[in-house]
Amino acid sequence: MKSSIIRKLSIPVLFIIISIIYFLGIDSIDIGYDEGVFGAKFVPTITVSLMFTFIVIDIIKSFKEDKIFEIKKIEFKPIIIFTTATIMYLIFFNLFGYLLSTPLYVFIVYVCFSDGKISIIKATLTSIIVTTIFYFLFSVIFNVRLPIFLGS
Amino acid sequence: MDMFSAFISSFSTILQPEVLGYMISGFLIGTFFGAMPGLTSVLAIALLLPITYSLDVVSALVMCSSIFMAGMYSGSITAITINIPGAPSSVMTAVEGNALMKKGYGANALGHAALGSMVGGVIGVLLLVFLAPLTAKLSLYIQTPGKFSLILFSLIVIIISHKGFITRAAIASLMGIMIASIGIDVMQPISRFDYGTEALMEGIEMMPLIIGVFAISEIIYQTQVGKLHLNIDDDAKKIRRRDFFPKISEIKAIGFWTYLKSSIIGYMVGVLPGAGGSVAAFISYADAKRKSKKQQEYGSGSREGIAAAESANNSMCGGAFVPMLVFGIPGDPTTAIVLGVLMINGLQPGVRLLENQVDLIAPMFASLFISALILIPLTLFILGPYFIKIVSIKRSILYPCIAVVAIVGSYVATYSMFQMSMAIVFGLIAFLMRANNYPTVPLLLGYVLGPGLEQYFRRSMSLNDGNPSIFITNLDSLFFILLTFVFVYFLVIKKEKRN
Repeated sequence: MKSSIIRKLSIPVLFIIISIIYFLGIDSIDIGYDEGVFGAKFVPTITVSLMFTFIVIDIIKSFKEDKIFEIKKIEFKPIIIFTTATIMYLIFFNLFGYLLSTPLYVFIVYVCFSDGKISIIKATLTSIIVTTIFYFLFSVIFNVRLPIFLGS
Repeated sequence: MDMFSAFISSFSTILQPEVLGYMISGFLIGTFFGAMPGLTSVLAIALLLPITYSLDVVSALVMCSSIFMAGMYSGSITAITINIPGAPSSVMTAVEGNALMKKGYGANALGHAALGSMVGGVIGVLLLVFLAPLTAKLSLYIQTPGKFSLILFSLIVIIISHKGFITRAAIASLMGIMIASIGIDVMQPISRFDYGTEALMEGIEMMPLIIGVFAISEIIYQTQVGKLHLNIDDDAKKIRRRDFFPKISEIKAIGFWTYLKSSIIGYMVGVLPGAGGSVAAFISYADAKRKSKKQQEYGSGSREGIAAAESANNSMCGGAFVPMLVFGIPGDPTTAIVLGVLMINGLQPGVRLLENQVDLIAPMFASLFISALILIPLTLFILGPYFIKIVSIKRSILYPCIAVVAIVGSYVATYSMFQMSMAIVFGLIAFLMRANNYPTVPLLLGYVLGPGLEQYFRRSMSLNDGNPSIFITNLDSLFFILLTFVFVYFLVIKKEKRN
């Protein structure tokens, strides 16, 4: 029961936080040339006001209705592993280049999506093959300049 | 050059080896993503969008349109063979097609789905070619207040089309508008919501939003749903090419009128914002069932039902391009991404695009046409017996590939660490939204339509010295406001009264 309330309120709370940050940002908008009331601040003010209104309506409705969530129970472990791996990939991609960072990333995502026993050899082979295929696709076919090795 | 002549002459462009290669590869990618449960053609276009930066505009548009058409058709493959619709637009096809599959007519059902898609796709493109210039001419009469009301109408229709989740769709749209307002103002050279940081001054680009909402969130979502057990029985594995061809007697029994009417319904639904292929398929299916002489067949393997649903969802592809090309208003995520391709290449939707730069747009129509007429039956014939093997690819191989393309793609598109990290942030937000029954498509459409909405509103107000009566005194604006009320009445108020 308690977890259901937390779940129901999670998105509205997230949106309320974003809306408060947004609302605080309205005040610091430079007016520029005079457009009267309907200047650079007007639409953001209306938008955020509507946002607050709809969030309140949504909270009330979500407690009145008992709709089943699309995902019944969120497993945070794979989300944390995938997100951390992706953030690390972004950093390593910029620091060490595509060829070093991508096999590591593919390896981790492979493990994330493996059902049952994980074969290290298969995971290593997959990461090398995927890295090579997409390097060829981006660099050779689409002529995209990728950081190759140690940022070069 | 008029549209029809440009359309005819654009076939020579399509036949250039490079463009042809992009069209065929786009079609195959779209077929794979459409057929694979959990993946969609929208994800395919989102992943390929960064790559289109390195392509010329014609190749990029040709590739996107062939993905769109292929994705709409290929959802029927898994719908029929294993009763799991590859795309939401194939739900009705699953009902009838899988029933035929169980009776031993799976290949025949696939053939009818391909034929329906082919006829619907072709009719949709022809209607697009003939009607888009007319709509474009009409659009010239719409003035600034009318443009505001038209965008407002589109946004509201997109929101109310999310039956049961209207408040949440409104929240998602508003979130999109808020994200779009970060950066340089639409009217003045001033920065908004930068919070003193240089990175936010440039605003948040469309690419990280698309990659985050459609690719990253999908990967995170797939970590939750676990392995999808495909119950593939022996019949699904033993599909033979010779059984694909629908019999003349079966086609005659369905009747040309069913194909034509379903295609017209699909096209009209496509023009409406937010409706999409699933609505088109459902309306046509329901209409065909109501008028059918063989109503008892529906639910237990009706070829007519498959033909109606597939004609409609593929014809919808043609209709969906009309509001995007004429008004710059995309009605669904696919056309929103195609609009992004146009804008990246400096093309502004509207009459000028359809008149002065028709040579760039017409190959896209030709690609839709060839995809429907030739590539759908050809792909079924060549790859048909192997479809099941193709969609049985391991998740542990598929998702690392998608993740690499998404992340490298966002790098290629922005070359900015900040924008790349935004893709992860949006991915997480979109996943949480999906998991808690918040629609994510209005987020993207709010982002795309928000700046136009604000710009036309402020221009209208400055034209009328800050008096909002301009939205009622201006006839075209009044028309769209009244149209909005009509839609709200029929789709929300009347439905609630009926329930």
